[in-house]
Amino acid sequence: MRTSLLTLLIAGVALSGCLEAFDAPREGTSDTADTTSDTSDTSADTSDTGNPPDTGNPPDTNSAPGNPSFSLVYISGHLGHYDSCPDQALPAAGIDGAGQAEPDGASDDAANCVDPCGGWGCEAAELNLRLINNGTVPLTNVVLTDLELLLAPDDFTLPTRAHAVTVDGDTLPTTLGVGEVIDIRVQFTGLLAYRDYRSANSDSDGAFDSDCASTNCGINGARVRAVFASFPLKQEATSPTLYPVTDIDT
Amino acid sequence: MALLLLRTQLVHPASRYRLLAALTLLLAASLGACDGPLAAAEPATTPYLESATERRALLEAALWQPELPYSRELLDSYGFSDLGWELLPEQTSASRPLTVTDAKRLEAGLGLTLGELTEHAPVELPTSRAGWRALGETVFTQLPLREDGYLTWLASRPSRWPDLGVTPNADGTVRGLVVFQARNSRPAVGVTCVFCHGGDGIVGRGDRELDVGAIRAEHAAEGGRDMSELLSWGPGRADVTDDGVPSVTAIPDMWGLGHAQYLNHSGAIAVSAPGTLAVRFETQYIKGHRMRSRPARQLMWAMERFLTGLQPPRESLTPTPSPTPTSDAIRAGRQQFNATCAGCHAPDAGFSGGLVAADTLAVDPAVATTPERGTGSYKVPSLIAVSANAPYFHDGSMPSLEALLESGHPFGVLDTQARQHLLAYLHTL
Ligand code: HEC
Ligand code: HEC
Repeated sequence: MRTSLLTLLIAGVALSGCLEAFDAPREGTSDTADTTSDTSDTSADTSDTGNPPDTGNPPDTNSAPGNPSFSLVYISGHLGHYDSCPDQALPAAGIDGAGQAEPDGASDDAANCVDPCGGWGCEAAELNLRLINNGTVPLTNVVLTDLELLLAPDDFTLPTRAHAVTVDGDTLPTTLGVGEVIDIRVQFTGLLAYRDYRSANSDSDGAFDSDCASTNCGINGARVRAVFASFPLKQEATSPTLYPVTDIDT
Repeated sequence: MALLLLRTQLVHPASRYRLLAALTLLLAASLGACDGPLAAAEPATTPYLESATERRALLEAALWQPELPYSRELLDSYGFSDLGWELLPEQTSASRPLTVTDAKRLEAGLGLTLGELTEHAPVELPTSRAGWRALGETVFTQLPLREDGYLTWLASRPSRWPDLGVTPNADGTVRGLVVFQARNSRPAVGVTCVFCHGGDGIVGRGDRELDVGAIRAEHAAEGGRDMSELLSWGPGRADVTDDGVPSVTAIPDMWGLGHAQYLNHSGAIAVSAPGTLAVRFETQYIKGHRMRSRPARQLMWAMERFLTGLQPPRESLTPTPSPTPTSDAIRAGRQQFNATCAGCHAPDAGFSGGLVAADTLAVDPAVATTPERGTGSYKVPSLIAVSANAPYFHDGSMPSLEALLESGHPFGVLDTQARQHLLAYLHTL
């Protein structure tokens, strides 16, 4: 399964190279265009409470026969738990090219074990998204092409890598029928401590020079952006701020 | 009065719910009910169960400081009908108690067997108040809130339990620890509410012996990590935040929740209407289950009904010793209380109240100012069964009622006789 996932990931990266040429929507909009009127009200109400969830995909308005289209919706996620396995967290420098890097190998606790691992509570970061084939033709070869962390306060972008992209514990289906809906789980490498990352990099990296007394500096979290492609389309979803798994929460 | 005004200005407006709360209060008052605003109403159903929009409204009314990271996380994901946590699948609600036998097997490296689990979600919902409360109690005691490495570790170290404040029940089960089928279908050790809120085996009593900090520190040390700073928490206390700033709180008793205007010591959650607690519990379970599933909502509602109606079992609580007060002393104490304390500790609200700015109290402001949940204030806690609830204050820093009265806690200096009268009265609450 590991090999096939990796193949998928590499295929995704290779594919995404060609995709840039196509006129597929890359940027999300801040509102889900396909929401019912009562929720778009709700979303509007919450836009002043921080980062509204950005599920960002206008559905294809032109739904003529033969039109491929899909949308991505944010469900949930967290940034994992690396206190007891700091070596498995994202290196401070980040990773160039999301999805390209191979997981560290079979001993990679956080990658292999999504649950409290070996009793030491090591968990991979995770993003759950809903993908809906809202076009008029089946979708083939859906792949994750990009995955990155957006760090507050100014969305400094840090590419990360996926360990597994699954649906119900299995690889992504190769074909997705018209109207089909799947919930995709992306497990990926998170940072050890977002707050520390920010202060550690505030001198070396221009992105962190902004005033750390400002609002978001104390936040131990990040937004996560995932881009999925199915030739010839590309869609992205950005989560609201996600946080590492905490030991107690009440 | 000033406090009331403050709250009215600060609370995130959700006027519909405020109106409902006011009506409920009125109803409660007119019925002469002494069960508290939420408990008295006993609504058969609740907007909470009806729709995402209603849940969203409850959440927004509750998180009156939306800019706090604690609030933001919930506001960003909860109560949207077509995205976020509303799309999560429902959790299974089956578990069985963890037993000393399980623990010994784990200690011997034999692993955990799932065994026979009991499904807690009823086939048919209760139809009576008593039925709902019984279901709520089952949820409070049996439904796994979360699993964690340190809990699994704890379950496998029964020989360490005496030092860590964990006492197995007479029947060989362990309060607050259950076995359930976790993500990936493995058997796992889960924690339930009574792990912390079931002290001395009394459902709803904050555990004063349980040393969560020592459990986590010892677990970490075995894994080669130094978390010895958590040893300073001490028994009966925990830091529930993750903001890098120490803010240790006492594990609270659940008495008086039916009267609560705010939840948590710093009052980060305002109770506006029935359903507020259910929303808090639901989000707690979602986070405990790593945002992969949500609990059955009827169970959260049942737990709210159970907790808001929960009375302390006075016969099982051992009050701090005191000479048996005379009825004259109690009467004088009540007068003193009404004159000195009732402005904050409202007698018709379980002796609880609104929020008080932390810097006007002689207590450590850390919990009130923590970046994650700090509101700048502490809530006025209920004084129901107060004489059995030592130690006192949000951090358990006040050892006894006598010491508290001598401290001048925010009422100023009282003479010996006034203090004795107050003490006599407090013993009757
Ligand atoms: C690890 C110990 C622990 C567990 C398990 C736990 N709690 Fe708590 N609980 C606490 C602590 C500590 C606080 C105080 C937090 C604060 O004030 O910020 C608290 C506060 C509360 C409050 C607010 C009380 C008040 O008067 O303001 C409620 C209600 C509550 N818990 C219910 C629950 C329920 C329901 C569960 C199970 C789903 C649960 N707790 C599980 C430790 C725990
Ligand atoms: C200005 C408002 C105010 C007045 C007046 C006041 N209190 Fe309090 N009281 C509080 C607050 C706020 C707390 C919580 C402090 C904390 O959590 O650190 C508290 C806590 C307590 C507690 C601890 C309860 C517990 O379970 O931890 C007791 C007991 C108490 N008060 C008794 C009294 C008595 C008796 C009087 C009158 C002689 C009084 N208070 C007057 C606001 C007040």
